[in-house]
Amino acid sequence: MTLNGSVREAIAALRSNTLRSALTAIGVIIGVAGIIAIAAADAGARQTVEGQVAILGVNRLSLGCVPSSNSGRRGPVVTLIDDDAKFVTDRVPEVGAFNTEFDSSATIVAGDAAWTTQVWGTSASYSLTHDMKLKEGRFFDEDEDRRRAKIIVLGATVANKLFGAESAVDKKVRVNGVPMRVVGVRQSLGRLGGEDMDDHVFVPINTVRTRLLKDPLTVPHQVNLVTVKVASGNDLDRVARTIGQLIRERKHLPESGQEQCTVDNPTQYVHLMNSTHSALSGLLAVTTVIFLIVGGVGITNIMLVSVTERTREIGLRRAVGARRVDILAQFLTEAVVLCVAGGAVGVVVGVAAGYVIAQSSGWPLIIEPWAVATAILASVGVGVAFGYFPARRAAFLDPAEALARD
Amino acid sequence: MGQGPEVAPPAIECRNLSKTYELGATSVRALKEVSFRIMSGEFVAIMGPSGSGKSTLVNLLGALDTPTSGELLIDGEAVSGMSDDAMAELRNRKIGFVFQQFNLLPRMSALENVILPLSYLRHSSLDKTERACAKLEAVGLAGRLHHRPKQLSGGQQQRVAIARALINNPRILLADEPTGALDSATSREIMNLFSSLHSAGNTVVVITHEPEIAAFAPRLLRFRDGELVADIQQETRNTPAEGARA
Repeated sequence: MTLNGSVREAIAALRSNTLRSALTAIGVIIGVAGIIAIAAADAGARQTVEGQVAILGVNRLSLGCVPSSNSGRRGPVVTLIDDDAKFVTDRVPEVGAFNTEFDSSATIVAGDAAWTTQVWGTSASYSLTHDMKLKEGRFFDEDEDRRRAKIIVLGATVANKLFGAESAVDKKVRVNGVPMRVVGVRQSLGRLGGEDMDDHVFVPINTVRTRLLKDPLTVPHQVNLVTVKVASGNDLDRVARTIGQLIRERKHLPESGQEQCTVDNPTQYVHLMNSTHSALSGLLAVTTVIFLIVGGVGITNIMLVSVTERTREIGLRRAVGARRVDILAQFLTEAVVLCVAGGAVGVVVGVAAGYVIAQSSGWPLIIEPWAVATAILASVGVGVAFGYFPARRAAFLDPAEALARD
Repeated sequence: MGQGPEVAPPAIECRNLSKTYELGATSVRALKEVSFRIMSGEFVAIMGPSGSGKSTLVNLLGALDTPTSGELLIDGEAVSGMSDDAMAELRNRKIGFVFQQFNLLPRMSALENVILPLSYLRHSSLDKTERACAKLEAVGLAGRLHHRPKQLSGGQQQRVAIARALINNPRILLADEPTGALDSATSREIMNLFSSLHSAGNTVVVITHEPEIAAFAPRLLRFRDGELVADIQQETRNTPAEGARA
């Protein structure tokens, strides 16, 4: 019998008991849907994480000091200044570039439009440490920082809020009342964990410290954050420990206890999140396999029932010339067709589930061809593996006895 | 069937054919040292009460089972010692079965049921549908090609089954109680159909326990307790009025 004919006969046989076939296929449907949805969620999450790492930057460390909080004796207030950054980077050869940052917030007005946002006061080297890409215009330079120039670089969101689709370069804005000139607009970074990564502006750090603050600083060269770019190929954790040690010595801070100055690798949280996510995916994958096995046992069960019900049919087919292998092929085909039909439904359900997951987590929906291929192959595999035993039983029925059965 | 100059082998030849079933500790001798031959083109009725070994004989003659001892040749081929696959092929090519319960597949149309044996025929290039249509026409069902078994009367279903048995132009038409599920008028129609098929040159073997049915065949083999007790040539009561071409 031709494959085409066998498949058509199998479909006819399954359709003669549609409800039973559908119920039997549920296990396979769920299993296959699981494969698709997990693969989609995994791919979506992976792409998102890669994007996040790109935004947060590779080979970057940030140093910050906070006043020691809550419990215990309050230690001395530790304040980072420009010289601290220079001191550290001079002594750690792995550091390529560094920048200092002092952040504030301000309302920016351009014509009728106003927008309150974060003002990141940075040194000119920010464009180096953060591999900054500009949509238009330029970043400021060291000289402008030293001169405390009244210039500003806008994040994409701010540019859009103030100027819409128009070019923002050379436009005049007022930042907390201080007139400034826009020299550049940063390329959009998108969103990270639901947060807008473009809602900020850059102003030279010296301009921020001297012109934008309502109250003058007690320490004139105060810095919130120092970011260093480590030459690639170095152990980031080791460099972080070295920097931490240096700053503790310089500030006379105890080795242990409450860390007032910390060195962070901003991507480590993403990697942590990612590994948690991987563990969860693994667990779901195991669940999927269990569903496929349970579904497969259901297939075996229903095929055994089918063989029993159709004993006379088997006898008749044997009488008119079917060999054992023909009967085996017939029932195996039926099991595989049932599983593949379930698998096809499962792919649709899985894509739908993947879409819902992607929508609710802000991931892109990525259905990779290998996932669909794996799912279909898995359903064929389940059909063959779990259909074999009943098909073999059918093939080895005694033809004379099978014909005599009621 | 080509009638060559050389003598065709008997359609069926049994020599000291025995079949013993092992049922737990006891063994039952269903068939004891039976010998007979049926020539090509004969119409033979095999009769006997239940327990006479009829069913065992049908299974052996149909190559559905192998004898415990003795020899069985179907169209010159020894069935003893044949592999399961070879027996399936023998059934496919040389034997046309007709059953009491018709054994039509309910999901398939009359035409598809008739084609079924051809789907197990290897290396065939013939037009299956055309041949099946011809066979259905030969049994008087030209207008019922696409009916399901459920939509046909008992007599019509048995005609479909006979068309299916004829599809491979078998050497032997083996009918096991073909009228057992039919009323007497329909039974006569079916037996007349067998008579016409015989007249057209087919070898027909009908197994029955009813004397009226056996009376259609010119030769009668009587069985009792697993033994052949009579081999009789008899006057037939057939009236091959409605012609059938096979």
